[in-house]
Amino acid sequence: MTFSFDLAVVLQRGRSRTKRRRRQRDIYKSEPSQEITFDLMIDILTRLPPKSLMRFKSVSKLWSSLICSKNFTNCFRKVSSPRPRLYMWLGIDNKNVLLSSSSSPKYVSTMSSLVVDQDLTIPAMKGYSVSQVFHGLMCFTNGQSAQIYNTTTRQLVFLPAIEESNLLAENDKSKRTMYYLGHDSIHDQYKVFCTVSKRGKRVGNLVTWVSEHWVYVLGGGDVSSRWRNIPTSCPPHRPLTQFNTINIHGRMLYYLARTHLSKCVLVSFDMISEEISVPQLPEDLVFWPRLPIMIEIVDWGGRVAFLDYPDFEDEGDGFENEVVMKVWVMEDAETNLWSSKTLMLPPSQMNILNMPVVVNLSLMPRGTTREGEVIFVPQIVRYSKRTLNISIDPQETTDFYIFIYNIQKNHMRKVEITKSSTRYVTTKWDVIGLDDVENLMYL
Amino acid sequence: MSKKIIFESSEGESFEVDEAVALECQTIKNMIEDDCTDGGIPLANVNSATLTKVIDYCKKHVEAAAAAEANAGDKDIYGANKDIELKTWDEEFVKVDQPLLFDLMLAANFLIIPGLLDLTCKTMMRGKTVLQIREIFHIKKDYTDAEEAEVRKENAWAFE
Repeated sequence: MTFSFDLAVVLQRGRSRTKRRRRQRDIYKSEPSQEITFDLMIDILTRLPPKSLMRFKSVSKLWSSLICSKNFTNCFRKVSSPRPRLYMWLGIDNKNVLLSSSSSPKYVSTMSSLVVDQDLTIPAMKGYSVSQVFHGLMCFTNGQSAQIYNTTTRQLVFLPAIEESNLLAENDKSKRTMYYLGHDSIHDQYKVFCTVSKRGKRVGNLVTWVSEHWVYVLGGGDVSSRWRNIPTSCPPHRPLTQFNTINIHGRMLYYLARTHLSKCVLVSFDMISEEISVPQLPEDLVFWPRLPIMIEIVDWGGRVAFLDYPDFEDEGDGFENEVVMKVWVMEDAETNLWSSKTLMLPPSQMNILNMPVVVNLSLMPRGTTREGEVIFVPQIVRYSKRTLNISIDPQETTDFYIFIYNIQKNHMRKVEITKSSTRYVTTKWDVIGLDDVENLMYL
Repeated sequence: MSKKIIFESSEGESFEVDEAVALECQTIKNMIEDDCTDGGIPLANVNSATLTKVIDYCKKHVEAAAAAEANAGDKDIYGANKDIELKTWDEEFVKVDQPLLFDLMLAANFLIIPGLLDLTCKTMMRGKTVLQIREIFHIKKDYTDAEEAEVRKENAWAFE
């Protein structure tokens, strides 16, 4: 159904309704003033919370197609000013629960306290893991299979299989598929970028990789929509984990990957030009030889940056002494110019970090607020002397909290997340990310 | 003494208000700027009952804005309380029957009073069932029962 057709229907109906309405309203002495115009109708609907809109799709076919239309969803996105939401998952009785929390009304401006106020769990997400939240959309993955979840409308759709992929057609256990979300503001399209990788031939002791890249445009249930292959001359690579990903201004996607000789690289994908590139790394940046690498990419005031995040070893002195972070910021993408600095939290801030568990605690960046503050999530780092492996896990505590770091003021603050129900008491939890968009987009 | 503006309701009744109060309406503001308010402003599609309420709303909000400005220095202490007070007043203000609320919304739309339009729209739609919405807007159900059940099922969470 096209938009102009909707309009025609409404105008026609508007006319046929007028008389009936006048009769009915005569009961209330007051003269009817005027009819509700289509514009006013849209105006009213854009002011409503998404939950009401999803309910009112049942009013009529016209309302349903209006609420799903691209014009309306764009209009709604511009008008609505939701509070930022922090998305997190919990493990309760071997089941994953997806929650979101927002500032308690008293502290909206400072975001100094969060309250869990939405349970977004739906049965169809069982077995899937979620890595990212972007403009109200999430990507759930389970091996090769992926679903897109709209956290505002709670619509969940499967992404089609990448049928043309040669790598996915192979029966190779080393296959890995990673999905990333972004927005092309020129064409106003939400896109899913996918990197498929697998082990290539061994050259002596060295591992090589083979990779393919695909793009899928979301929305509208368009039949012609399919995965498009993105040709690239960048070296084949294997994305690290689903967490080492950031998205700057919705357009520039960055992720960390390994290429030949186990070398770590930064890969970028431009959602508009659909170009993949591998920017040069800062010269003095040294990665751990093993996973995890203890260095994360972050959105640092709108620029991509590497952060050697603060961590504390068993034998160390914990947070009492100092918290030092080293950061490398990309100053100019064209010329690959990086600046680096070392940040030390003032001693007066140490007490807020002296949390229940200090030993082995590390702060992992997990997103950036609209104001450019970096969100840190406490994680536990375990080092195995036997296998020489390091593992990073969510902290095992039932107290939910995060830290928010203001870059300009060099100030860290603790934000507690209050549970709205005792049902959510668990030690298994992790933060997915922060998002401040309510997106009605019909997938 | 401040300048007065005269409104005329659809019944022909005259309402005299301070210019500052009339300026709350974007439509009137434009007319004042264009200097075409002499001899009163006829509002053929706003009745007296609605106009009385609209003027009440504008008066209260002009006063509240003036008070907020006067207390700007103590905003940390009093600002929040004033906001809460105005919000409570707004909530009481829209406790009216459905037809008057409807007329207030149309008047706010016509006179362009963004705050009042927002307040009346949200109040009118808050907590309404699908059936009530169809009644208010005189919408005929064009779904078959099966289709409606399907749409409801798809958005079951919104009915919880």
